[in-house]
Amino acid sequence: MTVEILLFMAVGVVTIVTAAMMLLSQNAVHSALFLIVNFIGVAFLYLMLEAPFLAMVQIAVYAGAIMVLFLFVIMLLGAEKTGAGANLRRFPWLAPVAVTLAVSFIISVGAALTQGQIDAQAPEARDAQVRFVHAAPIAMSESVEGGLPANRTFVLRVNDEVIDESFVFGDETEFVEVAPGLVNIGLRATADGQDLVTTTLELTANSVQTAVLAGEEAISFYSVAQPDTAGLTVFNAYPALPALAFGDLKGELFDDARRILPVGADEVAFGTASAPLQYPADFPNWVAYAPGSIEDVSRITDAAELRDVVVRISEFLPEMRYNEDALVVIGTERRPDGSLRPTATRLDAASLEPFGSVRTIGGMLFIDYLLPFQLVAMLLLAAMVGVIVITYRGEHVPKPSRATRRKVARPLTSVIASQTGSDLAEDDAPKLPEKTEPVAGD
Amino acid sequence: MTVPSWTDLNLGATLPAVMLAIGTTLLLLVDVFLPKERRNLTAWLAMGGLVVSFVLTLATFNQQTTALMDMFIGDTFSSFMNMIVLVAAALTILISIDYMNRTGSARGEFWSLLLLSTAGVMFMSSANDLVVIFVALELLSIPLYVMAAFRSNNAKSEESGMKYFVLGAFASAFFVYGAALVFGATGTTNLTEIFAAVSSISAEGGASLAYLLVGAGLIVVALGFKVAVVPFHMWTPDVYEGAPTPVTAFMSVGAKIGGFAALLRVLVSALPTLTAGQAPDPVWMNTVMIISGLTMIVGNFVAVSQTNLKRMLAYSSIAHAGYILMAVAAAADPAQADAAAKAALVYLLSYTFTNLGAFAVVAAVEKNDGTGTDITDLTGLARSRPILAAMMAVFMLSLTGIPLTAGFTGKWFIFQSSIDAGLFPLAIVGVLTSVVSAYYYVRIIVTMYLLDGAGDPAQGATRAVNLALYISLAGTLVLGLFPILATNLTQAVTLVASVAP
Amino acid sequence: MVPTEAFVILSMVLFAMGTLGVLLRRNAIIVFMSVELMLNSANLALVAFSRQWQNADGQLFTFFVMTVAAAEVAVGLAIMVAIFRTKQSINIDELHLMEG
Repeated sequence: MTVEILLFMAVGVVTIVTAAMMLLSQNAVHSALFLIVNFIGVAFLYLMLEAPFLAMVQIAVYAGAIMVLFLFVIMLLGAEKTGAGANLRRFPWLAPVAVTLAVSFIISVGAALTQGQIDAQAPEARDAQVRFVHAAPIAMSESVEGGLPANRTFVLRVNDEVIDESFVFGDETEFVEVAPGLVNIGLRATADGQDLVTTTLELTANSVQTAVLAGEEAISFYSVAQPDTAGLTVFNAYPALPALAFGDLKGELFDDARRILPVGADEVAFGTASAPLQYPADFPNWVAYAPGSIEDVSRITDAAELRDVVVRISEFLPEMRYNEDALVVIGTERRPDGSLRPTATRLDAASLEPFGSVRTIGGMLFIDYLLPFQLVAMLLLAAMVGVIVITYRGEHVPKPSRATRRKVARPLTSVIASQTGSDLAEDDAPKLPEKTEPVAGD
Repeated sequence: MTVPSWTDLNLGATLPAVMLAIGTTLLLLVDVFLPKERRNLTAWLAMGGLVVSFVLTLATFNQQTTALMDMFIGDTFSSFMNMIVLVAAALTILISIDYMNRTGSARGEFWSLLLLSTAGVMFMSSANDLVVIFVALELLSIPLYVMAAFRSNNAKSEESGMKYFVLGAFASAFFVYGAALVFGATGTTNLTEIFAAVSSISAEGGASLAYLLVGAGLIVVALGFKVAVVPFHMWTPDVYEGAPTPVTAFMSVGAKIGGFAALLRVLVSALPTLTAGQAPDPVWMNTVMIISGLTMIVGNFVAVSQTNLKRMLAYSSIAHAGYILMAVAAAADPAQADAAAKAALVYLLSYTFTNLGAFAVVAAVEKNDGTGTDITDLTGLARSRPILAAMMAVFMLSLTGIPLTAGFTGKWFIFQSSIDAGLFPLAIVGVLTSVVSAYYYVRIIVTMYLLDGAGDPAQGATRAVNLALYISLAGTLVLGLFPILATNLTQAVTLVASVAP
Repeated sequence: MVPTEAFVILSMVLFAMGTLGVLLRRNAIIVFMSVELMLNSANLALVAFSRQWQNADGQLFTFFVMTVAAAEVAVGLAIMVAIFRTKQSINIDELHLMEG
């Protein structure tokens, strides 16, 4: 029995017991409070069922708003006492029945689970998700656009379905969902229709991958799986560097004490990705460099030359907070004159939103469920109007008569009377009436 | 996910219902700024909104499309249902204008709530998804709860509102649970997709089939509460008696239209192949048959002993729901499904005219404080108000099903479709109970014409009520004399899903 | 992973308890709360099936049910307040002005 099953049974028992207590309690306020506990238990079950948004909505709306409204009305009507034991005497079997239900639930579910009687159906498998990144410095095309040679465009196909019609260097596609299994990926040049790369990838269900097109001479797709833990993943697509190391560049060009402090991370070979790195909260200046060239770095004074030797990672990361995911691909870029220079691209590591997240639900709410959404809006309007109309007391509320308005100061007439000694004012002065019945409230 | 474009949403097909909903919101605003003396203007504006929606319904009558991401179906079935409910709402407005004024509960929101309820029925008849059916069901019901309790400080009215509310909330909880189980069995709430998944589940059996059966049963129970069939009819007579008469009129017709539209769509479009075992008939056919028979019997027999006109009409309403259920049972036969749906539509149309006419007469004779609706209060009506009595006689004959009235047309189609589907015992029960019903309907006619006594003359027969009476009478007679009109309108109705399993 | 059937059994038990509450209790507030319990158990079943099918439709249905339940509760409590003003009692057994 795993912890999860034990937790489920505990919360399940709490739910049933509080529901029973709600039904049996003689005090309406107690019933309402038991029901609140019941709802919170159900919210916990929603958390176990991969529905975090619904769990919070359950607590906020059901337990927080609806039950508070119930309590308000109970107290307003003074209806706590629900008639001393009248119903229980009519149905003395209510309590034993509820208890029997709870106990039988525990026994039956527990026995079935422990003996494996319940055939636990695995949840449906979701498609694999893949996205593609172009990081291979392919030779520029012969044609010239605007005075500069242009990058070649390619058509990217997955299983003969066109994913991207103009896949150029530096492009990244969105995640696409592909049925699991062997998948054909084809890259065809737009200009001459020649297939540059055709390869097959094996995709498993529920997996999320990034396929990086890398290499200088031998171009192929390298797949990077979505890491399980959060962090910064760096992929080495730099053909000239068989391995890539990471360090913290302390000091700038003008600083004599400039040096690189190695960060305690493993070297990354070409075509592979690093393990997730935790980028510290004080935003150090991380760079990637070829191992063994640290001493050369400290002697370089030219910014351009520095850029050729190290690749700054941290310039992509100022907005990256601790524990956020990112994928940085370090490769080379072809300059217009044909030479190579290092470059880095940053991709968000987040895939299509997990099932049950707020973004998924929000998107579906406004797109797929537009009609029920609008209907619910009208329903709420009807409910609001209805509530006001039913409880409106209109003409039956006696308007406060003028006599009940309190006088703030002595009327002028009585002041005059006191000065002049006449008793004229006494008869005319408006008097406060005797105590009237309360206007409102039961 | 991609954001759909305007053409993807196909809003043109949804215009009748959507314009009514928009019009109601505007009506609420307008009502705020109207002075109290011209309160009736709200009612006439509401009528205008109904007319606009009616014209739009006629314009989109013979379409067959889905809209709003496959949640909305616009086809002849829904257009016809829309027509019926718009007529019902219009007649209700006519009955209610002076009624609400003279019973002291006139408030502009009444007509806005009425229109919202009508919009709920319209969306229910066009629903293609269990979620939409549920929300539209609530949109239909919640204004009705409020309208039933509308007469402030009238204990009967508030009590009927309370009972209707508890009943309705109970029913919708059943509906949600049934929909949850259906979703669990098929993985979707869309009716067309459920249809696609049902046949494979029926063949496999196992846990999915169990979920589907129980879920379908709960949905039928929930909709049965809404249309008030036996054994879910317990509080219906109390609710009908206590609510203001125009509200009762609309409840008896509008809730039925919505309930039967949803029932037909769910059972015939989504679950026609829900067979358990080797029987070629779907599982729900026997259940619906039994419920139908029980309803006809109980409704008619208990109505015999009623002395209050509104309660009698409540029990007769229960009985008529039983007749319409005959068509639903007949729709289990796939060859007869469309004909049965057409029969149900024609019956609902004729029932609308007749029943609203009868309730208009009740509103005409009811006194300001709500009394005066006993059957004995109709004594001698033929002498004091001959035209009113004659109209009531026609309505009573139509409810019985005498030829040349709309009721006969409706019953004819229903009996024909059930005989074509082979439901002979049910048809026999129907005919016998119709004969029994003649007793208490004709008793009204006898009371009006033949008995001596001084029944109070009708105070409530104002111009608007008379207009309602004339329209209902016209509808009843026209449908009775020219049934071909109804047949032509329902010709293009088809409910059987085109996706082959 | 806890099997979906366990959640369905739990929701069935809660639904049955809610039904018993509606049919047997005489106080209108408790009856309303029992209806809320029934709706909640249906929601639980929906979310469990949603996880089983990995389809967020179930969760969205639950969302709508919650909203509708809120509106229903508001209207129901308003009706109760109106009745209470007239009769000073919310015992359903005492609502028998109309018999037959």
